[in-house]
Amino acid sequence: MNRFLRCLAILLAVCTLFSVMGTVGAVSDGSTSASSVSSTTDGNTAGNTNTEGTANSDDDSETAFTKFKYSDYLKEYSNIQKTKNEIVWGAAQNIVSKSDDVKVVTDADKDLPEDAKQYAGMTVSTTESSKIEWSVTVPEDALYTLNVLYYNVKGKDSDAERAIYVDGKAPFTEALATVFPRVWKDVASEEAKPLTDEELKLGYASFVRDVHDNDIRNESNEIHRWTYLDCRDNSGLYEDPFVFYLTAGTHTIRFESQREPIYINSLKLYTPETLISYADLLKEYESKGYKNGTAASVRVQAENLSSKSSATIYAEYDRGSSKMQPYSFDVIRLNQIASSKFTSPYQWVEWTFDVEEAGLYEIVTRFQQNTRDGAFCNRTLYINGEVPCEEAKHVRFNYDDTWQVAALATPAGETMKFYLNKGENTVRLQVTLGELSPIVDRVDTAIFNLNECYRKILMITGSVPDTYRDYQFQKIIPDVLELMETSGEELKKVITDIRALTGEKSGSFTSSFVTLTNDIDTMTKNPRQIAKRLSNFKANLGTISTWILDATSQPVGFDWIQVSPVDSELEKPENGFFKDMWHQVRMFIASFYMDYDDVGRRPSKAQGKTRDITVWVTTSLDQSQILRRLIDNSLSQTSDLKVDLKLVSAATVLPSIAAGMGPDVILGVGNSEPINYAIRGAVINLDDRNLNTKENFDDVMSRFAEAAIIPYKYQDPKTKVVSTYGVPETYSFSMLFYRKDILAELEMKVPKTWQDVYDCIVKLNMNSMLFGVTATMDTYAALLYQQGGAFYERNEQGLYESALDTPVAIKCFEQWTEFYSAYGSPITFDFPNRFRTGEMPMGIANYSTYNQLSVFAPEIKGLWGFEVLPGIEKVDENGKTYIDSTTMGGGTASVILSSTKNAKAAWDFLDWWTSADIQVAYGLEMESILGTAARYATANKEALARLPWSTEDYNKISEQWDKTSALPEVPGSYMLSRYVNFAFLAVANEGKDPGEELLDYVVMINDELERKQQEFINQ
Amino acid sequence: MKFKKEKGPKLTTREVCTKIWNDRTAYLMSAPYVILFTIFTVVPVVISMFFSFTYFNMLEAPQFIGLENYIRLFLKDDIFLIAIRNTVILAAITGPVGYLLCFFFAWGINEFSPKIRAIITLFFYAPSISGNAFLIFTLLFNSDSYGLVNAYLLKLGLISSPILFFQDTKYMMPLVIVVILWTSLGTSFLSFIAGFQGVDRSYYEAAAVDGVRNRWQELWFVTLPLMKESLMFSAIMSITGAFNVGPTVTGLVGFPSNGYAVHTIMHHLEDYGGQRFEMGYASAIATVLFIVMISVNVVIQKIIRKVGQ
Repeated sequence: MNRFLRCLAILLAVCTLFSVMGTVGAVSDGSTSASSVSSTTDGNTAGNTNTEGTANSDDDSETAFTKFKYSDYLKEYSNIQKTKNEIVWGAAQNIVSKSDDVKVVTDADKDLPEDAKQYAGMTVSTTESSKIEWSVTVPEDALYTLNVLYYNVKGKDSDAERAIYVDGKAPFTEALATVFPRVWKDVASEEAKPLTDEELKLGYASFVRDVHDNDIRNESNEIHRWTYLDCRDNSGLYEDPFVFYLTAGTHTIRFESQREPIYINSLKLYTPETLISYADLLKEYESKGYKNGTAASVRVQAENLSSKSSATIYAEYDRGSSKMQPYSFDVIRLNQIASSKFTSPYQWVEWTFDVEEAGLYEIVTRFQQNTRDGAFCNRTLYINGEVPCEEAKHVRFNYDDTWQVAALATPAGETMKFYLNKGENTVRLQVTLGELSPIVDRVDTAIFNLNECYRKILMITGSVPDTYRDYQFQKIIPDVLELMETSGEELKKVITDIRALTGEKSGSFTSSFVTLTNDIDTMTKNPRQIAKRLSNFKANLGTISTWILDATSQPVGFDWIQVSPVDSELEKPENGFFKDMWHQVRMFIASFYMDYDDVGRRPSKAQGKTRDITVWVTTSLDQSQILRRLIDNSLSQTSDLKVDLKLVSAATVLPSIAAGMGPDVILGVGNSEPINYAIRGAVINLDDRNLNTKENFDDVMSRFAEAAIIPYKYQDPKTKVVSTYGVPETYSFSMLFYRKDILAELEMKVPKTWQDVYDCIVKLNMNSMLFGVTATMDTYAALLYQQGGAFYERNEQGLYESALDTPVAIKCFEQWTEFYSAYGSPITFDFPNRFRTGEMPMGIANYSTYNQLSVFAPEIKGLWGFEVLPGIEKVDENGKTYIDSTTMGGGTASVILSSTKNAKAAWDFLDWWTSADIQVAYGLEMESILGTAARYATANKEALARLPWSTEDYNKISEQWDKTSALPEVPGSYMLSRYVNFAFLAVANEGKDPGEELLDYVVMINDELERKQQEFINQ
Repeated sequence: MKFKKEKGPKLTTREVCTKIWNDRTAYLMSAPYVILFTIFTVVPVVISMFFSFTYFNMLEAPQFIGLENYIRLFLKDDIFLIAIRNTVILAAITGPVGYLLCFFFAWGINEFSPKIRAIITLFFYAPSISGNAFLIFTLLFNSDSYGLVNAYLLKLGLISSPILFFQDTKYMMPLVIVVILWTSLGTSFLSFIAGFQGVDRSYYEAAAVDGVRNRWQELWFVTLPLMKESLMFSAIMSITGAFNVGPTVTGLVGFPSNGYAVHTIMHHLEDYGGQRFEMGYASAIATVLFIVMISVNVVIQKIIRKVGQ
């Protein structure tokens, strides 16, 4: 009866709830917005960085954390003038200290690439983990810009990153992630279709065609070259390079590698020249006697670029407009640089023009800017490597829903003309936030402060404030209220500024600010409203964080660029109505005969006999297309394997196998599937002499963590032979995530042992914050493995039995449930969201959460990190104490089906697929298409090292990688996880005794294990 | 209404063939359905019954093992008993209650003017046509402390930590019943509305003359007997629906449900067929479910015949 009444009460509550949905609705906004954030910032691999604010970057300093923004630094030294001096020194000179891997490179060095020799003799080579410190003497107190001449040597294909310390200290947080970019170009294949004269005239790029006459994208190769770089911020929030304040006298400058090697030749402290205005530029042209050019206009297709900043910018096709060049209504013609790829600050594309006569020309583009309604996007124009005038720094591209043709103009609308040499000229367009950058910076600061306010309030009220209580905020935290008010005022100014800049009236770009400032007004004017408004406030803060993501992307796509004589007539951007209609009709008809699923297939190079295999993937379309491209470009060009790749739904796999219609290889099957199939004879043992895998089986398996293979191994209880039925593909595991800023504020350290964790939880709880522990087997497994326990043991007959009735297993189960019953960790929670608001500043989560956080929580960029899981102190045989922080790993695998006719070919395919080169290529491609959030959790250790993780982060993952274990799969093992979960929930919900609950289920688990194992012995 | 079977003289094969030939159009017209029904319904049922006497793991050939599956099912399988209990509870509550709900809503709606009726019908029918609309309840009863109900209860101070509604054995069954009832206004509801529409107004007038004095009498003596077919159809739909709540339950509480609190025969079947690859055993479960459903339907039909008598 009691139970029934409770349900009734809840139902009543639900009914009431519908009526008040409006007010509570905001509560759910916060928890659901995590999923609504799309990965828009692809190519921006900035990620997380080491941001300790102190000199020593050793482990102890992790908690000594402060964030000091560059904007504050600038404000502090705003009255100091810029230097007029220039101090240059070679990188091999003045070295105060360096790590062992820093080498001075000479011309004689055979490691030195041929084209890097130009400056050698005084060059130093730095690796991805080097430290080097120079001393430099400056003559005056002034602001200096640091210019570095560097050479981008081959690495892991991501941009090099260095932390800059001046006099052993980071002058501001942004200096810790100074990027030294790579340069890329597209390489046309020799097999590309030759261009006709007509096409050459229109500046077409040449592409290889597939069997259906579709264009295939050219590969991107890196250009290794010497580059002068003014050290600058990487987020795009500051347009000008960094200035460092140095007093007269001797200082030290230190570079600490964050990722990727580079060669450094020389460094320079100076002040870059200021740009002249366009009016002055015209005067200068006049004084030099430059005349308007008379040569015919030269057009270059955007996809026919000569160099670019990132491999993620590449040619794509658009069939939506009938006036695209190259044009096609059915086959794929790569004809644009799409706006979705060309958006992040500092991305650039460069084109080369051959001009017949020197003179002044206009630059005309056909572009698409259809995302920033009512606003514009910016590009910086470089001609022959230099920005010609102040106005060229922010060239505006206005909004329209169709393609547009326009000449580059000043913000006031005056068409600009520039001097071009006879012969080759380069034109570069680089993404910049332009006038928006100081605004975004101000918003960023305000949001940072408001988040802190939110956290401080949260520490008093807890996450569910009592709306009827007067918390006396004015007395307890007057400073927080003040900070909130000033931040609110700042945001109001921002609204006015944005409206003035964009001329926006309707307010879609600024509406979220208005809501937030209203919240702040109410809360600061009437602090008793704070408790009531807190959840709304949090949700709106999240919205603004998303706004920052939007604002820092500047999407403009290009179809072609043209150098035209002054005042020449502009081409119409689109065709007329009827021509367009005809295009649509033909496109519709083409959709019936074009096989778009087979795009990219190239005739195999293999001569004569090929070995054919069928491969199924059950992932997404994107992934299967990437794989298809890899197969065509790599595998079928180098081997006699012919692969028929098919994307199927996971549900069809089992019926197909049962019907004998299965493929040879299936990729991406779940952790427990290989053994499930194997005991029923559906997949083959890979470690088999008859398969001829003996020669390289061990080689292939050595690519993975030992634990990664455990779930795919099975020992026959009768014959005691161990067989392996799957090759790991992906592999991931839990790690400990923490907020550096909050830990520093509470004077806490990153916990190393579980005892530390308990201390942390108590301290966090005292401040109304939580520690997140995932309520899954992973946590239980980690505890159990660390304490030397296991889930299974073997009985006398060699059969598996559950080991959950051992004292250690029961103890660990109790320990696990205590997190929820005694320490108040919630069972269900959205970790990334609570982590970013600071409610849950510490928690255990899968390491791939890193990617999600780095993309969708920009406001805490650099304020968090991850560590190896907490562990247990142990003493090794030498009497040394160490911490065992084993965690449970898991992933997906590839299997070969028994129905295959060519097992060796299938094995060779798996060998190719899991090799480091292919896994890296696959991972990088995924990231370039789906963004950083889709970073591939490869099971291949070497490939992991080559994915664009920063060195520090990679080291963390690598450390945990070696400390993983995994749950073995045995017949009936699903029972174990099911009943452990039942036992867990019984304890969590009903407060039952953990030991008793677990033991109750052990009998049932063992019954099923035995029954299932007997089933397969009897066969 | 009742057809009496007339026993004719015994026919020779030749005469049968002639009769079939004479009615060939009728046979031709019914052929598409009969063929499809046989292939996709009759044959699978028969095959499944055959498999229930075998050991079959889906990937290897079945082996005949006699009644072993049934013996294990009824004598050794504790979970199956739980499943039967849950199925009976769910079916006994959601079937009749859902049926009555359908009926009374349809009766009520029938009183409105056609336009309003159409709108209200759509309103009630929408949850059952929009597939997984019931998943809105997982959002409402989310076990996160920011889940709507939990947040509200926490705010009111009724609870101090969030309730795991769909994982706590205390709440699972009642919640599942509520959700199933919410989605139950489906096909049978529509057929009721059609049934009410099909009653000729003149019957009511005649009944009034004959002495029917109130709406209840009108309903019992006129409306219901006239829409017996609708009643029958709806009853079968409701009961079949009540036995087939598996996907809805899985969508709410996951699979398997915690502590088997809402584990039904359907789930038991899925457990053995999908997770343990024991198709023979799963077929035995399916056969039992099949027989239970047929018997319940027979009983229901007998009851409905009594209406209006």
